[in-house]
Amino acid sequence: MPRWTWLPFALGLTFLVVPLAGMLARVPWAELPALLVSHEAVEALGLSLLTCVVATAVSLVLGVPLALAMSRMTGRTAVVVRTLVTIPMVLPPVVAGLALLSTLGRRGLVGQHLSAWGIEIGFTTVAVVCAQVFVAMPFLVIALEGALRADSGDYGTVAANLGASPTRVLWRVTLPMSMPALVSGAALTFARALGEFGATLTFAGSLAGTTRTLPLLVYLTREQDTDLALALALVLVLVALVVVAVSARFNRPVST
Amino acid sequence: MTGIRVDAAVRVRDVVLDLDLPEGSCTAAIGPNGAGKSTFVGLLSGALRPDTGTVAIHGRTVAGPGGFVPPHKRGVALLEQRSLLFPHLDVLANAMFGLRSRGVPRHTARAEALAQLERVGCADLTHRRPNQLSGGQAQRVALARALAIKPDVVLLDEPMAAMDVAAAPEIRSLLRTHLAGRTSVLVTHDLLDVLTLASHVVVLERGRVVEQGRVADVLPRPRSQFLADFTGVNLLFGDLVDGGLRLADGTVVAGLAGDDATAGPGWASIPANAVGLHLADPHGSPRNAVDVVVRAVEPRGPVVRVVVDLAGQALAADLTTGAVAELGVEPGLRLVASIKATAVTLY
Amino acid sequence: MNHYVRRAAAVLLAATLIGAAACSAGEEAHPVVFAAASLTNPFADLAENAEVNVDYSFGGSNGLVDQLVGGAPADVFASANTATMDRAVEEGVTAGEPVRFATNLLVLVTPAGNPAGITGLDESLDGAKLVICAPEVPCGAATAALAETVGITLEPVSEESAVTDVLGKVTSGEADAGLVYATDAAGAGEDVETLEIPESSQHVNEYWIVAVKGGDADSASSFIELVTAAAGQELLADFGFGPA
Repeated sequence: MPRWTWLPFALGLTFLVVPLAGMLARVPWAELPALLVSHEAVEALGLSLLTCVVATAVSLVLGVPLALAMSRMTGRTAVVVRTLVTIPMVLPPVVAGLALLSTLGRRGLVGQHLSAWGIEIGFTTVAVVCAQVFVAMPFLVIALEGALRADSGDYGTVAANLGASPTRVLWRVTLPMSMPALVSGAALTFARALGEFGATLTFAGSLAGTTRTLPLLVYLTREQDTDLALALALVLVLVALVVVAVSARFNRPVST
Repeated sequence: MTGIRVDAAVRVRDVVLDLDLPEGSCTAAIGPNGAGKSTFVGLLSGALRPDTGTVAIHGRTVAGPGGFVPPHKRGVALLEQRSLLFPHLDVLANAMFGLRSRGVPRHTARAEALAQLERVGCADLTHRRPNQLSGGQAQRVALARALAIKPDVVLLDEPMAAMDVAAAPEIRSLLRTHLAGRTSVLVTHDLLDVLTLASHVVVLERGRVVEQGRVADVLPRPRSQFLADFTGVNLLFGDLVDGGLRLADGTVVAGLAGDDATAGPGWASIPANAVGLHLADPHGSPRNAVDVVVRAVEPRGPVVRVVVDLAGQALAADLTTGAVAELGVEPGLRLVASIKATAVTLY
Repeated sequence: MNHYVRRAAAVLLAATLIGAAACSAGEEAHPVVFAAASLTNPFADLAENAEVNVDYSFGGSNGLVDQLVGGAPADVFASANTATMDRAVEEGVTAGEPVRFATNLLVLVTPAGNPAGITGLDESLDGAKLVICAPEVPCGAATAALAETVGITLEPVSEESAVTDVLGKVTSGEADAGLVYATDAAGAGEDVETLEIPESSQHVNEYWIVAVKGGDADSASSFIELVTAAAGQELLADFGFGPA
């Protein structure tokens, strides 16, 4: 690496780190404990953690089979499916919210039938989880699919020849061997779900204890009570740090 | 015969195989790259389905019009170039894997796996992870893992190809001990493997079986250029006449005819060190003297291999560097080749 | 040679001066108006109808005051609420007395067809999905005050950060009812049905307009005249604003 690249390196790092530092500088450290134990903060954090855990679990249940099937696809089908899966990842959050609204909303494609059965998702905690799964699951699928695709399937072949049924191969060989990707993908999914804001706001609404997650509370309080907003933002940064650290710890392939 | 019977075609790879392997013996499968060796292994292991035809193992049809038995229900163990030990499991768990997959209770599986590890000399490695093993150790554990399931057939796909020179003989002797009496198929590029491990051999070329039979019958009498190269002899094709092989231009190479030699199309196999090259006819009575033209010269360790054109066929002679210099060998040079008639086998 | 150069320079100079004069004459005809974002549509129509050129700068009322304090050149300032106009006066950026030129009332809106059969701020809201502004934001504060006057405890399914989010939940049919401003309801047109709330006249949101200190007094007063005249008031009413 030429020595001059240290300059753009420094600039790039500065650009990424200084905004966080700026935020930290304005956090009211003295009042922090009081702010963070306030009823609405605890309520929003609890709701955020609960919905993110559920959203990550749902993403695992739905996303692992999806990634498995994708990793076995080839050619145009693989490209089309991967593109479809990636779309929610890159969609502007509000658009994701509108998409969910026009599908699962009361008058939506699916929602109108659910509504006839007396099931209405809008304004419930379920809607928050839906929004989080929609935008976050692709992170898990893409991470896992890449790992599964890199594994040539030789270990699966060996296991099968030793007498392991396809199901046993999946549980005892394929998934354990892609555990690093699975954990780091799940961590990213959790992080993305935690930060989910736009789709929740558009689709689920904002009510303390039911749909008002931490990011929504930050958004609501940011003008009126800047101190609380910054304190809550700090919590989000800390949770994100933990998640990224977990992800990095596991994002190393098992050495063969 | 109740060993392995393959009469099947895989169209996309243009492989059409028709062969029988006897039960309880080790058959070496040899052939150039892309000849269909891995297709053969795939058909036996169940990784590939034939488009037409059948594959039967010990009298049981595992692939054919009647259905397809998936790999995990075949009892065919596979040992590859890479040991492919499961990296997330320790040595003992690896050795137990097949038994546990077949529903053997944990304590029984453990005991059997330990016994098997003992047999390959790895009893002291049970709690190591695969990444803590040497290449030879890993391959020994892989062998224990494969044999623990008491397979009907063991497939060995170049099991020593990735091994360093020190470890290969060790594995070879282990295989020799443990393959005795088992039906097995050994894919290899190494003549030594064929000679030490196999009793039968199958030669594949361009997706077809070109030769098959007992090693002792097939190897000394190659009928394909590949096998001749593999065993390191010259192979000439022509018409068998009394006491010799007549080539396309009428030249007759004298030699010793085997019991099975009959008049008509036949072969002559000539070791490269039985061929001498001279500027003029040396007039030696037991020798053939034929006119040849030099095609190519390539150094091979202590000798120089000179390939000459004999009536349109290639003939290799191994000369010392001194002799090559003396003759002034270069492509296009006309020489006389002398071949010991007693070294020429006709069949 | 020198003679010609001097003459050419003189002609050039003259042309530049005339051009500059023409430009400044043109500027005099363009009042610069800083107005609350909710006035965007009616004010644009106002200028078009009166066939006058106006330079508008629309934004949040508070932000506009910040800009004026910072020295932004403007002739007129129109605020969407009393508090912000009070702040502008305190900051000393205004010239003359602010004039109240429009009002805005909270109304109840339902999706077209009123599927939940809402009749007003009453028992018809029991079990219905009501969306309001969060008390942390101005429209939510007004909503809370109105509910107290009516004497009803609202049980919303969502408290939004912006009145447009409330409206969006109603127009999409996701909510059965929402409390928004009359102007928002008018803007949604056929998508919503509007129910007026009598008590909301006690919690009127007032719009104020004033000339800016340091701006052009003539063009400011002519624009304020335009807004407060009968035609201007009619136009504002079309957009859902109440009378001043």
